[in-house]
This record gives sequence, C-alpha cells and structure tokens, in this order.
Amino acid sequence: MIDTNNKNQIQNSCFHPKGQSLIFGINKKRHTLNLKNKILRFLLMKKAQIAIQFNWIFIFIVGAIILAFFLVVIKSQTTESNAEVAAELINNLETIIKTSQQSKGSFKSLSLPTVTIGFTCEEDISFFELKESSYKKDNPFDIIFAPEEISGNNLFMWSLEWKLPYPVAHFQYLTNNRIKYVIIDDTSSFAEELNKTLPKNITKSFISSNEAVVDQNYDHYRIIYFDTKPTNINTPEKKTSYLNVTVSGTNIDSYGELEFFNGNKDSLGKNKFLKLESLLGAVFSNTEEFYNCTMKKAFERLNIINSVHNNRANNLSQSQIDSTCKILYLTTEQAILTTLELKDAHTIYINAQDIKKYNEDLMRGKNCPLIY
Amino acid sequence: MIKRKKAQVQMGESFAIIIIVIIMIVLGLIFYSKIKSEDISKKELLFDELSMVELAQIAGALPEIHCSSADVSDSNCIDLLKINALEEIITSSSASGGDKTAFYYYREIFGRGKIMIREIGLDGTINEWILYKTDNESLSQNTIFSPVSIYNPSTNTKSFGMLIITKYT
Repeated sequence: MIDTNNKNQIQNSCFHPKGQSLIFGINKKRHTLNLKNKILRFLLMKKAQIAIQFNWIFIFIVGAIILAFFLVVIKSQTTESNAEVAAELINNLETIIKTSQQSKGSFKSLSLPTVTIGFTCEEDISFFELKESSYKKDNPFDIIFAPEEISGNNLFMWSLEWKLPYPVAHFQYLTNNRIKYVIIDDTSSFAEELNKTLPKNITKSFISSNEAVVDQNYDHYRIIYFDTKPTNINTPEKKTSYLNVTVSGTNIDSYGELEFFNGNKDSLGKNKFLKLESLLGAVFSNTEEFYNCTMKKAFERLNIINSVHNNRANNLSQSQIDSTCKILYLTTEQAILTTLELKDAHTIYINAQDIKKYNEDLMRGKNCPLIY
Repeated sequence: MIKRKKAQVQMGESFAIIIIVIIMIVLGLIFYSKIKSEDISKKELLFDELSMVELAQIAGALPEIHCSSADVSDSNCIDLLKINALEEIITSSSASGGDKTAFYYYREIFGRGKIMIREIGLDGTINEWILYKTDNESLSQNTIFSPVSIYNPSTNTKSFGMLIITKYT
C-alpha cells in the first residue's frame, strides 16, 4: 500500500503535472499579490505625501492667522499707548499750568516730548490740545495767552498778577524758544521798557527800525513796534505777525491801543490794553481774536472781584465810626464798577489809581482797615 | 496600515500643538488685560490726587478771599468780609432765577465738591461758611484740611480757622 502523504508529496512535486499547475497557481497568486502590494504601497505613498502637504498648508494657514492676530494686537496697543501718553501729557500739562498760575512772577521751563500744542479761544470755546492726537482739554476760565501753536520739546510758562489795583487774576503766558520776539526801538522809552520786562530766557531781540530781520529758521516771528514802523523785515510772511502798540499813559504799565497785523501787514483788528500784564498778553497772542477772547475771561473775573471789594467797602463804611474813613470807603464803592469791558480801559485805569490813592490815605495815620 | 496610523498621529500632533498655542495666547491675553486694568486704576487714583492738589492750591490762593495789606498778600490768611461777600455772590448766583455766571465760573474751577471755612473761636465757638457747594453730593470724597487765620477787618482781630476742601469722586 502506498503512503497517503507520500502520494500527496509526489502529486505536489514539480515534476508531477498536478504539482506543476499548483506551483504555477501559487506563482500567479504571488505575482498578483505583489502587484496589489505595489499598487497599495503606491497609493499609500501618495496619500502620505498628500497628507503631509495638507499638513503643511494647514500649518501655514494657522500660522498666518496667529501672526495676523498678533499684528492687529500690536497695532491696537500702539494706538492705545499713544492715546494714553497724549492724555497723560495733557492732564499733567493742565496741572502744571494751573499750579504755576498761582505762583505769580514765576518763570518755568518745561521739557516735553516733541509735540505740537494748539491753543484755541473763540466765542464760547476755549481749549488746548495735542495736535498729534485728538485729545483736548477745555479751559473756559483759565487766562492763558499763547500763540495758536507751540511746537518743540520745551515750553516756557510765565505767570504775572493783574492788579487793578488789588489782585484780580493771574495771567499765564506760554511760548517756547522756537518763537522769536523782535522789539523795534522807538523815540520814547516804551520799547526798551518792554524789552527789559520780557524774561531773558525767551528768544527776543531789540533792534532799531531800519535794522534788518532775516529768517533764522524760527517757527514764528512776532514783531512789536510802537511809533516807528519797521521797514526791513525779511522773514516769511506766513511765519510773521506784527503788533502796533500806542501807549496812552506815562509808561507801558498803564493803558493804550493795540493793532494786530498778519505777515502781509493786513490789519487783523484793533483793541485796547489795560496794564502791563494785558499788553504782554497781546505780545504773546498772535491774533486779535485770541487776545480779545482771553481778555473777556479776565474781565469776567474782574467783575466778580470788584463785586467782592464793593461789598467789603460797603460793610466797612457801615461798621467804621471814623467819618474820614467812611468817606474813603464810600468813594471807593463808587469807583468800583461791576459791569466792565476792555473798551472801558481808560475809566478802569483811572478808577484803579483813585482806589490806590484812597488806600494809601488810609495807610497814613488813620486807624481804619485798608480797602485792600 | 502602520504608515496610515503614523500620518494620522502626525496630524493629530499638529492639531494638539495649535490648540495648546491658542490656549496659551488666550491665557496670556487674560493676564495682560488684568495687569492693564490694575494700571489704569492706579492712574485714575493718581489723577484724582493730582486734581485734589490742584484744587487745594487754587482754593488756597484765591485773591477773592485772601488777606492783603496794600500790595502785600498775607499767606494762609483769609479776610472775613471777603468770605461773606463771596458766599453771598455764589449763593445768589446758584439760586434759581439768579444770574448763573458766577456759579458756573466757580463750578469750572472747583468742580464737584465743597469749599468750606470753619472758624474756631478761643471760647470754642464754631462758625462755618460754605463758599461753594454742588448739589450732587457723594459719599465717595477726598478732603483736605488747611489751617488758616481768619482776619476780621471791622474789629481788626484774627482767629484760627480751617479751609476745608472736599472733592466728590
């Protein structure tokens, strides 16, 4: 008997026809499998390649989004930071201006970042602002005389007390070293007086009427003359303004007339000044409109102060027994007017001189309280 | 199969990294905004203090109430007759129907607050004058007390007093 295993072995051997066909089948199967594997591998490779590329595209997109987000954040933070700095600067400037107003006769030089400060004073509107930002600060009652714009990295602040004859208000003058004040000498001593009054730190010059004024690259030239008109001004018209002063009293600390001109020597308007502080206000303001608006604020204050002193004089006249003192208080009451305007400069000045005289009379040997 | 798994895991990694980055950015923004709001609160406090200093300087140097002897002003001295006069002017101005000019003027200077003068006599009597007061008082307020001498020109006497400046926040 033949062994079954042996029989199978013989049948499956490559020499047996059956075996041969089996081998061929296996080979065919193997070949098919290899082909399938190859195709599968190829497909997988493609899928991996595509997947990797998609991966990178996805990373780029997300990266771009994150980058754009940070750029937007940076830009908004920069804008906010600038606004914050502007607000802080304006608030600090307001505090410094208000507190330096209280120290009469003081001159301060303030260092700033390079900015342009604009000043506006019109009917019912009065403010100062940083031109680089839209940040403004209203100052409806602060008496500040300044050019329309001050550019630079420093600011001069000068404060003087306006007296008529008692203290009424603190006038604040703002300027910087980029603005030049040219005072033209005159036949009287008014120009020299004005030149000596202006602080040494500001950029000023005192020249004769035929001396030339040339452009030295300042932001603005303010030409002040009394009786002699300057003839040799060679500065750019856009950067120049003129002020003609006519003094009616015996010195510049009295009253008089003012006329403002632009660079083309066209008249911008006429007005008056009352006391030296008011004249200095006209010197530091470039336009008649600004000067007039600021003087209105000063007169609002004058009317209130006059009411207080009027009331005080009235109380004193009722409480004091001494008849000579009573007369002085009563005449003071009449001299103190409470609804005043700049056009009444002459009357106000004369009344102020009278009140000063009455006060001096009270000081001399009379045992009565002073008017002021 | 293994390669497919590997690609999927790699994509998963990218997702995870991006999510973590986004979470970190959000946490960073929250942290930054907290710090910024603290900074703003401190600045607000600083500006409040600055405005108090400003007000104290202005009120203390008002020519309307300061004593003066001719051209010489007496520091830390307030004239009693001037106080009475100014109080009357501001009160009548703030009353309904009155010319509001003076009240608006002082409201611009003093803002929301109260300016009061308290006289303390030698016998302990206390007299008070409210120079200025806004209607909308507030419990949240800053107050500065400044000692002054109060001069009465009618009797030529001086007494001790306090200038009390209150600003409502």
